[in-house]
Amino acid sequence: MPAFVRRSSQAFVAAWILWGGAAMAQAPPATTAPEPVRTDLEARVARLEKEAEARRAAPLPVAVSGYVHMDWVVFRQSSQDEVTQDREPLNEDRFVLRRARIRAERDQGLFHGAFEIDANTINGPQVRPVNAEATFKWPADRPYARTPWAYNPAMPRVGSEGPGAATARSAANEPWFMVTAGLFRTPFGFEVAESERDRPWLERSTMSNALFPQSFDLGVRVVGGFRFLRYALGIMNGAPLGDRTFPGRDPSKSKDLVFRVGGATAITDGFILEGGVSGATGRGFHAGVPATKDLIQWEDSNADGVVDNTTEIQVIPGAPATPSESFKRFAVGADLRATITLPVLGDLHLRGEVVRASNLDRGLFVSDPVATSRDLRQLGYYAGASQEITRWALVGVRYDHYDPDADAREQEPFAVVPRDLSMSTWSFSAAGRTRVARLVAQYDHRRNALGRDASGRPTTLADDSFTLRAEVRF
Amino acid sequence: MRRAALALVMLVLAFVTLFACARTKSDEGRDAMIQVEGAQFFREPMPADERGPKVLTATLAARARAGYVEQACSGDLEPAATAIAIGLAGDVGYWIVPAGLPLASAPSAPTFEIVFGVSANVAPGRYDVVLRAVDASGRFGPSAVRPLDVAPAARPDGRLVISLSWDNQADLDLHVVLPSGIELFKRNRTEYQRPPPSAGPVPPNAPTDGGVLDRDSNAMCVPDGQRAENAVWTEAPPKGRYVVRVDTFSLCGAPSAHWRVEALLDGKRIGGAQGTSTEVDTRFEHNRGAGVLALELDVP
Repeated sequence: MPAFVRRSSQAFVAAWILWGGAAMAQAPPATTAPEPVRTDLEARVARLEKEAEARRAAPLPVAVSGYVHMDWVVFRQSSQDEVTQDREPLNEDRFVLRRARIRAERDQGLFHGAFEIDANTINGPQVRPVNAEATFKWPADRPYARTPWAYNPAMPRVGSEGPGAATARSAANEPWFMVTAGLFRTPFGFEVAESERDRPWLERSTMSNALFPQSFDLGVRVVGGFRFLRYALGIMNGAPLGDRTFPGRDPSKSKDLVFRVGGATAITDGFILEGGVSGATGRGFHAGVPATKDLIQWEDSNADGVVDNTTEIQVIPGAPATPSESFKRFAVGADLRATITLPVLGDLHLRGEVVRASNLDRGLFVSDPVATSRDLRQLGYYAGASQEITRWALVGVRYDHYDPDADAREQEPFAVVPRDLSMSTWSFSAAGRTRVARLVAQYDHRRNALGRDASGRPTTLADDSFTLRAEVRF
Repeated sequence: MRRAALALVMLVLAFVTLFACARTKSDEGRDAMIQVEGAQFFREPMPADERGPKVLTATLAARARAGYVEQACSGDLEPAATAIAIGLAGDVGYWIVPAGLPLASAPSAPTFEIVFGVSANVAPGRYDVVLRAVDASGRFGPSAVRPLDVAPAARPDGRLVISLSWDNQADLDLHVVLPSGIELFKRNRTEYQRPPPSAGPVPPNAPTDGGVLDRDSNAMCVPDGQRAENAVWTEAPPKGRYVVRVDTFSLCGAPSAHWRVEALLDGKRIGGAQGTSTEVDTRFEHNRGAGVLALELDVP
């Protein structure tokens, strides 16, 4: 066979195979025009690529975040190399893991769930849940708001809305309401609900630590906002995690009602104002005591080491059990925060809060009006200012004052005189920071009434401290 | 960087200097010879100036045991006094106690009532208790000195005394194993072992003395105020090796108990040990052979 014939036949066969294979691969066969099929295929491929891209760009199903606060208390004046009667160490000059928290959460439209655990070494190694929330929110397309009481910078300020502002607000605003059940921050005031990693100072004010120790409590909460209005209403156990008597538990069936109503808006460009009033009411718990038996006590009054039946033995009679009781407690407060953007430097934050309470101290001098036979009135306030020094540094100063018992009295030889039990703290802090880390130095100058001077009068027990904190977020 | 660190240090020092003066310091005063519960301790000698008010009367039991915690002292002061300072002469500091209400019999004289403890480390001997009234401006008055005879911690007399003492209401038991293998403890309080009936009549002159355990303190968690048990030999003790153990029968609600074991031969200390009992120590048998090893000693 001549060569050209052989080549032609091979080309024919190849063309036939190719045509046949393509025809077999097409469905429907022969009758469909090739051009629309290709267009359809390209559209399909493009759609699949777009979906894959969207999947890649979408957040993980569960968002995980956290932070670590590692403190070095360089010195604290009240620190001693000694132990208490309960054999608790009195040394405070130490390295301490103040908090290491990890949080997992997922926003699923109408529902949002979150769980956060905390590890620390404040009183020895400890791991515990601090935040667990099951939330229903509406509208579903608005994201879960972590700080619904605060101003949202994505929201256009009132009176300056341009085209498309309504759409932007819908995407950026907090939900109209979120109903949450679980373990969450008590919605009272500004500082109690503020996250530890956002605060310019190391710890909250004495007032907040006494009235709402560690903030987290169990209950049900409704929180939300409309335009600049903000509201929160909670029904809580009334025994936060830092409660000195029944932490995280509720010894009585009565529940505490807590609320905050306020607003947050940008007045002008570079000037944001947030504020509100809060209230809390409920019943506290005075624990009864079990019955005791008669006791015989020996007091070696003549120090001879021998029991003298006639003078050194005394009977301490037993007592019947006493019932537990509950008592009324409440708090009202007001808070205000202003943010002013200064050229070159950055934001200047000014904040203040005042709380008047009755029988609500649960963390410092635990209120028990049944034991004291009178109500214990508390008054606390703080004022603070912090200034960003570009985005790399921040300095702040805060003064806080707390009086655990405004009616305290003391018996002196010839008169009963008022006793000032109040304590106050000047906190000076400076921080260097990046987007994910902070190094904070803070000096606290404290005044209290825990010591006595040579004349026997109450005076300040020296308790100043200087602390360094390393913080990393992830 | 170095300048920044230096500036930070200077800033801290400035704050300390500015704020830390003229304030009472935290001090538990645990190393002082007397300790006053709830009072303010000052780690310094009392001021020499004596222009303040006087102590009018002061009553104090003249005898105390080292380690005793209920020593009482009371009296009254001149009207200008707002507090009283109390301390042992030569001690590391003194204590301030606010003055109290006057008595109806002397309505112009503030009173004081102090309960103090004498440290277990105070050596036996005579001490001077110094009492001084203080007025509202912090001026100290003249000293009122009262003698205090500190006796050694109560311990029975004997040629050999092995003592166990502890610090709270727990029920601890002393176990002493003698060279002969006999174990003294609360269920076998004497060294003397009655012979079995098959051994026949006991000779009338056979020894029936030897080591004796004096008590079972805080037995079954009934506090008796002693918190101590002693094994005592009034005559010459058997020669050889003694093993001393401490058994924790119950902590009686306390989280732990701190104990001390001491052995005295003819008044001289020949051994000692101290330790802590915890809940784990209560979980074992409490019969013969029980307890943790505290001390081994040889008696010549």
